[in-house]
Amino acid sequence: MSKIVYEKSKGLSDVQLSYCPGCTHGIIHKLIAESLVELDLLDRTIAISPVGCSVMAYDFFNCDGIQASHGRAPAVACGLKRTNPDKIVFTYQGDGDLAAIGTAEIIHAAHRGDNVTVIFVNNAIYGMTGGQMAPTTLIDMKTSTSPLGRNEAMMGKPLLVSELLAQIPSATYIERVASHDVPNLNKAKRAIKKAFEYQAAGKGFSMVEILGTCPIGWNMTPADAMGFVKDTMMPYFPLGVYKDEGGNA
Amino acid sequence: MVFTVKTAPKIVEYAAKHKLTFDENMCKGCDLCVWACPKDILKLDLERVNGKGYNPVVCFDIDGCTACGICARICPDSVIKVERDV
Ligand SMILES: Cc1ncc(C[n+]2csc(CCOP(=O)(O)OP(=O)(O)O)c2C)c(N)n1
Ligand code: SF4
Ligand code: SF4
Ligand code: SF4
Repeated sequence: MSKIVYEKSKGLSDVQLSYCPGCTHGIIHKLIAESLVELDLLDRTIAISPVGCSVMAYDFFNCDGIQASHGRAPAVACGLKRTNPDKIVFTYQGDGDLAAIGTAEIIHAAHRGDNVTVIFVNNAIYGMTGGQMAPTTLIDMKTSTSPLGRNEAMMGKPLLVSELLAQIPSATYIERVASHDVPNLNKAKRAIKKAFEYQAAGKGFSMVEILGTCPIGWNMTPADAMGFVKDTMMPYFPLGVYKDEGGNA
Repeated sequence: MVFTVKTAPKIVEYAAKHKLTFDENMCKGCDLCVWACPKDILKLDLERVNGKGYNPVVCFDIDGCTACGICARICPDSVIKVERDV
């Protein structure tokens, strides 16, 4: 007798992911797909993909999807959820999308307390366009637009999105997790599941920020990039629950 | 609309007490499973490429596998299935 320890999630389509080798976008997709299957929500879920490397994420999940203009995924999600309250609606956004061009949309989705879930992948860089500096780029981190490293005097300190959104009165659930090893993936999946459970129970706005990698933009091997999340990103972006007003889902 | 080209599947199995199954043409040779496996029994096959042009991962000592599932969980491309003998 054999028991399946792990196999590809039924929540993913059979399309090959467009991501670079070893990019954590793929790992995070798996956590979302597994969560939606385990919660039996996949059939009524709609994914809103961003502009960024995950622009084609609607092809990768076995649910319906819409692709929004750069940064506008939360606005699309809120409109969709308000007109289709029986659907589970989530956005999948990078830090260029959510924390730069889409700052107004994410803040006002949380401000209105819309009952949607935001999966925010913070890889400290604009991956798709060639590794430019993002608001989340760490001090001294070299990118194609900060070749000498991010300079605090000129460019400020990296934006802490979870801390920022947790200040918004109508936000329900904000947690930051990481994706660089299996124990952290387990925690990340628990957070994603909680966010979807809250939405299914009508509890309002939730965001899970996931520290991820961009091995190509960071000019590192995928394994070294996992080490960079642990050793360099986590000290500046502390993991934890920043707000949880959902009670028991 | 689906923009990605699908490569015909190539399934590679290794079985001893436990079983590993690789959907080889989905592998991008990223090395994360090799890096994560606590038993160090995976490696990239640098002698050949798969349908996508990457060096695919292989298992060179399936007897050492504990079916912990770490390789499969870390793989971004869902290449690996792990079955435990119970
Ligand atoms: C209106 C508009 N401005 C700029 C761009 C160029 N652009 C495409 S992706 C991107 C940033 C993506 O970075 P991020 O959200 O961090 O996602 P990643 O690619 O790292 O996953 C930018 C600026 C665009 N497509 N549309
Ligand atoms: S550019 Fe970076 S974020 Fe985009 S797919 Fe490649 S590794 Fe991932
Ligand atoms: S299941 Fe565990 S021991 Fe077996 S190859 Fe994968 S990581 Fe290594
Ligand atoms: S983690 Fe997946 S894609 Fe990367 S080398 Fe291993 S099997 Fe291939």
